[in-house]
Amino acid sequence: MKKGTKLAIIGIIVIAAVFYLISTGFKQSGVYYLEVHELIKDPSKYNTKGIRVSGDVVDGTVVKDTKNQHLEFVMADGTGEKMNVIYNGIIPDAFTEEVQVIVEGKYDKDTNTFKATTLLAKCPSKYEAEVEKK
Amino acid sequence: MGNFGYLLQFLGLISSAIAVILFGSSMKKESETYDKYGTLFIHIQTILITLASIILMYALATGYFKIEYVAQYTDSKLPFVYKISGFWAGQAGSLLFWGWLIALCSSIEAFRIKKYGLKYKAGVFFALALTSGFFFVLTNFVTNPFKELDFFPADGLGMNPLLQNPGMLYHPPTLYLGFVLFTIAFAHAFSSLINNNNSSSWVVNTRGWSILSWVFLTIGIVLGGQWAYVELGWGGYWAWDPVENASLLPWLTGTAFLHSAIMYERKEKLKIWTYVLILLTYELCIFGTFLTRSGVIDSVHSFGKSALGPFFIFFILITGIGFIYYLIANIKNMKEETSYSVVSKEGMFYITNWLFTALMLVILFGTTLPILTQLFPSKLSVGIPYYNKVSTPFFMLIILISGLCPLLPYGNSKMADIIKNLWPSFIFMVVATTLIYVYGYTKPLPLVLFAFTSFSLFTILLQIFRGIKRNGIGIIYRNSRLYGALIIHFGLVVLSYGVIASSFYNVSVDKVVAPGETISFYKYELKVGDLVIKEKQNYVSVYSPVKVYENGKYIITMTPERRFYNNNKEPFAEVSIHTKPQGDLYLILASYSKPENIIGIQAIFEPFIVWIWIGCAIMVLGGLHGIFPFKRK
Repeated sequence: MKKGTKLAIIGIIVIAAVFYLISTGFKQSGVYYLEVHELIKDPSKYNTKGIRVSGDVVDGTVVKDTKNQHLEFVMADGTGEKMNVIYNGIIPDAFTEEVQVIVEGKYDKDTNTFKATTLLAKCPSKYEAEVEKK
Repeated sequence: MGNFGYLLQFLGLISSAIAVILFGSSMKKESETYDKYGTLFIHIQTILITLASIILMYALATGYFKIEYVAQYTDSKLPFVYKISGFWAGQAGSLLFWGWLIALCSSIEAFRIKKYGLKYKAGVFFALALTSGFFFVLTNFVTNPFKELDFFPADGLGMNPLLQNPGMLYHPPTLYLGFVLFTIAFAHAFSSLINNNNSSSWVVNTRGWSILSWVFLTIGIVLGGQWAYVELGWGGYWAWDPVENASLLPWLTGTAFLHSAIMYERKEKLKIWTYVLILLTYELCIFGTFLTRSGVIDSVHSFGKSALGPFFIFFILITGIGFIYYLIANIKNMKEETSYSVVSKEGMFYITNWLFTALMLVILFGTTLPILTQLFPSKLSVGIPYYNKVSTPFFMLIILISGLCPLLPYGNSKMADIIKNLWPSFIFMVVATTLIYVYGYTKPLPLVLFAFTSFSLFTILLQIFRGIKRNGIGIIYRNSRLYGALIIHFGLVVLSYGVIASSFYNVSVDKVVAPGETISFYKYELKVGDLVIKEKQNYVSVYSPVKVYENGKYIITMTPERRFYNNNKEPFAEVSIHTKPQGDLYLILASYSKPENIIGIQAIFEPFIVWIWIGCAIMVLGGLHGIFPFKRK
């Protein structure tokens, strides 16, 4: 076998490995990235895989128990669809009533409740702030 | 002031446009006049943008809040250094900063390669001015840092507290420098293509610049991770966030490029690879900026949505297609002999190229998946486990080869000789791995990683040792290229030990207690004290002094803290870290309530994490050692 062929074979092996890794890695940890209304409309569609949902915290719905690290709030998106979110764990600093959040976890259709295992709070306010017009 | 700054940056854009036209024409028809005036306009561009940048910095420093950008990112109480860092803290300012750095580099390059051929210079400065011009188009027409408000706000909105960290002073500038300096190597590559000159001169010429870009990019990335570690308060340094990935992608191809360039220079091999890798690196630097700026991907720390996206895509396409067009035209010049063994330096470099490129592709795939699947009914995305899984095998092989490759000779070699050189490392690997297994570190994956890393460590040390034994200590200076590389590889190994230990063997606890109570954690006793509230320059600090005891012996009092910044309603955690070579004790004031008299403390022990930063420092020193012009005998 020519040496060049040998090297080409290495290239092909690497490409095959890449595809294999992408597909298995993806099968195991790929998640749907949704907005609230997409999830509520057809929850059964997203049962098999993990779900990551982005939306806004609805004002006045936050129930926080710092001592037991328990958090409940209502999350909505631009269309106005809402769902309840329950999260147990350390509440991120950036979490407030006006903030955008990304949650990952499982959705229960019957109670319209999302049990979040991770909670990310975005802090867009200061990275790209709007100057209040007077 | 804003209008004057705008005028300067507008004239700066005009200058770069003129330079593009002049050098563009000189590329086709060599012309001394075009070259002379083109160079002049490169310098005029640099002067104008420097002045514009000074005005922006002055406005930031003096709190001229009529400029919207100043009002958005600073306020009057902000410490002075952070006011200045506002230059690169926001969208518009950081794009101007990008362009300014390229302009500065172009001027330096104009002096450095003054004596070069006209057509060669034309190609280099065409590419440089085109890139700087692109950034000035953005700051002039899309997101203008000098835009004035129609009223004068009494105070600005202030800077995001997360950005008020020394990290802000060194992380963005070093990262940008890394991005920017790769443009120079790219410009030289482009110029060699339009000149149909595929000798190694462009590689040799830009070697210093390329290594310097790599050094800055490395510092930028690792210290960005360190910043996340001390500031974000979750005890980690890397989360595979799109913005982090954006900086890692060009680092991967840039590292591959540096290796490939050695083959190009020394052996006239892997030429096409080298061209493709510098193109990829350049485009990924631009693409990374696009990812973070366009708001196209949701990231915890991306900038807001903006209209920048199409501009970036257009620019990437145009430059990419242009470069590939000339590359194809040159391919017939680059026929090379491919007869070399896999078990040789050439073979290893070839495999290295593949590994880095493939690793870049799997990360790129994960990062852009939300964009790619936007067209379909449901957007998809991948999380941290995906990245960990797909990247681990690549990192393993890269670490293995980083030990092996410097050892291998060029050309064909006998397998028996190589094995003879390697058996000590092999024995060391087995012994070391068995030892830590017996010691109780029995998880399989870190054990395998540890074995590979140890194999590399010993191989590298053995080479340095043998070299010194044979040629005296002076060889480190006489052959600074090889020893620079060996030092970098050694730093990488040190860094990997830190990564392996801290990712697989960290321990944490999370407890809510009353003041005065003690938390028992790992080998420590943590005695939590009363809450203290103190007012500082632009924030109010709430902290709890925690006395740390190890085996009953008092060590240190740590003060995990929460800060309430004047312009922010939400509290920000300021963690307390006690660093030791064997690991960091990391305390977070997770929660507290004055009325209920409770304090929540999260404690994490991160074994060996300090070696990540030390490893990075060694890599940087190795890189600098490699370019330092020691006199060769």
